[in-house]
Amino acid sequence: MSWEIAEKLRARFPEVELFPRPGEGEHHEAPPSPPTPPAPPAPPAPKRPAHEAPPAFLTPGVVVPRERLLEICGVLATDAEFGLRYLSFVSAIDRPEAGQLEVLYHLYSFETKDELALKVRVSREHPSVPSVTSVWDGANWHERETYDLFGIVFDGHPNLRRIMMTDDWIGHPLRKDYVYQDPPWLVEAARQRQRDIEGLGLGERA
Amino acid sequence: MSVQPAETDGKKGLVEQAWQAAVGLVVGLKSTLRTMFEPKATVIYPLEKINVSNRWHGLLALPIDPETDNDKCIICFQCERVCPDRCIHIEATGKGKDRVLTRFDIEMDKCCYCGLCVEVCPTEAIVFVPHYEASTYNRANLLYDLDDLHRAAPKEPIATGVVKVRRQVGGTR
Amino acid sequence: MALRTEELILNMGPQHPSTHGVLRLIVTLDGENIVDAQPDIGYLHSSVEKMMEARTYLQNIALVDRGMDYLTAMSNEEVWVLAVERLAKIEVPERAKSIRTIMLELQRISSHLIWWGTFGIDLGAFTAFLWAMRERERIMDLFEASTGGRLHHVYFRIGGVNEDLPEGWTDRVAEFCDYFLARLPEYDDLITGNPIFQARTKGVGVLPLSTAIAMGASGPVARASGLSYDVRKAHPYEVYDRVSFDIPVRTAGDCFARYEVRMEEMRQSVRIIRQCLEHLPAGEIRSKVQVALKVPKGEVYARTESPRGDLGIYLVGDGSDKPYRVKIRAPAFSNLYALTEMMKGWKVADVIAILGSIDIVLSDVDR
Repeated sequence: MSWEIAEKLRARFPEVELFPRPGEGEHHEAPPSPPTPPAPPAPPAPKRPAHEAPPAFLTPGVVVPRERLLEICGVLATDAEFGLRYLSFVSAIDRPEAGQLEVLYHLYSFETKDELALKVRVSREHPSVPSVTSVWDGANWHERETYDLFGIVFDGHPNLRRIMMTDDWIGHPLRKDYVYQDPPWLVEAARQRQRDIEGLGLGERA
Repeated sequence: MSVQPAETDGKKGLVEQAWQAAVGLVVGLKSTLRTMFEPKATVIYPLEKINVSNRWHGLLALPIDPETDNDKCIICFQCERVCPDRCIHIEATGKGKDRVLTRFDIEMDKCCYCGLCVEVCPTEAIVFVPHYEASTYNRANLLYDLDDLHRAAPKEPIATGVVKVRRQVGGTR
Repeated sequence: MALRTEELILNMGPQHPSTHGVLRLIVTLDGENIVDAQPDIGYLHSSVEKMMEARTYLQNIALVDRGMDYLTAMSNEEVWVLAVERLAKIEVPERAKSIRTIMLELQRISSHLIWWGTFGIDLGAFTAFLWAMRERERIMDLFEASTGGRLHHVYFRIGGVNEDLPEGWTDRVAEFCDYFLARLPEYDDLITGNPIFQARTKGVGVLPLSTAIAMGASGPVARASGLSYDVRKAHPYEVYDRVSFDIPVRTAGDCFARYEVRMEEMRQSVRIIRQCLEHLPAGEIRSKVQVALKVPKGEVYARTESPRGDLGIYLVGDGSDKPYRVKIRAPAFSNLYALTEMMKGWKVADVIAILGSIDIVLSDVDR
């Protein structure tokens, strides 16, 4: 759980953006104060419930611009400095209020036991990112799954088809605005069951 | 790129291979023969029944409290709220002390037997009973209302230990 | 003039008796040789990740139990509560940690037993399945006594476990450990040492180490290819940093190596359980956590070693009592992808041996 690897990546590619570090949101403004006589104790800040605190990112990670993704991934996977040879998964997070989808990659190194989350922000309307199957072969199915469930197009993917849903499925289920509608036969089955229950009457049930 | 399958034990003669296979077979058969004389691991289910533990997630019930001659439900709706499958439906009328339960339905076909309702209940009004024979031919029979839930609360488990059930006329059916 | 041959496409499944669950394999054959094998998955897809967004953190324990890998309910619960505890910074009492470890290892044995039995059936040995079920039944009884459920337990809670162990349970576990270790040599007599079994698995379905890593394989599949990596050692959770155990590693990468790794893992699990029983601390089993727990905003990735490999959950909390997004990193999903590479070049008769050796559960693949 070390952020060093994320720092190293930023040193090499200054355009990447680190996830906010835990607690950074609160102490970011405070400059290193010179040693002063102890000030009178400040009135204690109103205690806020934990769930209202600024977001905490407990997994080290960076946000990568879409154009540089392939290049950065190639460096991360092959360069001995990083050695992130293992791709745990590819997925996405839907942020409808920002009009964005965050494509999420999780990388791991067996040698240094470092992990790194990569995020690429794309628009919700026409999301597309370059495929990383040329870097990690194992991304193949994960990208298909992400395409299936979020509708993100991975350019250069060898076989970008739906993997979980049927080929004629409409919509992408894991998007926040996706609404599932029961097929007519299922609606009818539920109605039939309701009729069955009513037909039995209250006292006759075992 | 693919590795072509090598001939397995190509150097060994056919006779030797056959002999090894025969020896392996005999060693395996010896084990199975030994197992034949061990006590049986199975029971003949409909005729014999196995005891279940007293934490068994079986049917849900609202046991009758002998002191008040009613269940202990205080109509706090906690179980209804915590149920992941939303299979508990409660309705009540009246205010204060006169508040009475008018509906307590559990759709046992939706229930996932997670036990969260039992866990959150402040008065232990809803409990699991160690009963595992609830199958029916009609799904509608699995809607348990207040009467069913009162009735489903037996004083003791349906089986204690492996018990022989009297053989019914006409075989196991 | 060469003989003109045509490729034959063979559909296995989704209801083939030897595919483990509803898996469809589209095998392209050239004569008897496999040119390509493409698994077609998704028959068990229930969109657990979507359903989890509509349930509270507590309710989701009941969902991961059955929505993910149904043979390893404890491991699923573990990875979920671990992710939530890390994000919400909830401490777990020591006794609960030990209990969880015991449960996880029992679950590992029971899951490996199912694999051992079905692998035997795949290769034509029926006795193996019956014996595996006999031993597994004892584990199920132990689970039933402590959790109330045999397959789906809903036993772990955020910040501990649901109930304390019943009286005499630890003795029963110790008894089971002795019994099980005595049984394992019989397994070796029956299957491991059998020359027919060895002929069908040794050297078959080789997965080289570099391919295994590139394709994302993990768990026993990767360890059989020589990857000495186990989350329990690399990123210890619960009490794995305080018990001593070995990670079995083979370098052959074939079906027999995967078999050996799992057989050895069962012995190591017994070792872990015995140490936990010896040092089982007394005290609290659950820290106070409210029912409608509100988890802080943030993101965390929690990983555990499930019987099938590297099982992880990427949890995004938004400050409410329901998760904003949950990504389940299923080990069987990546292992099944590696199958495409394992199959190429082997005979059609080896399909079932290779498929059985990677130990997939389709509910884990599809989620």
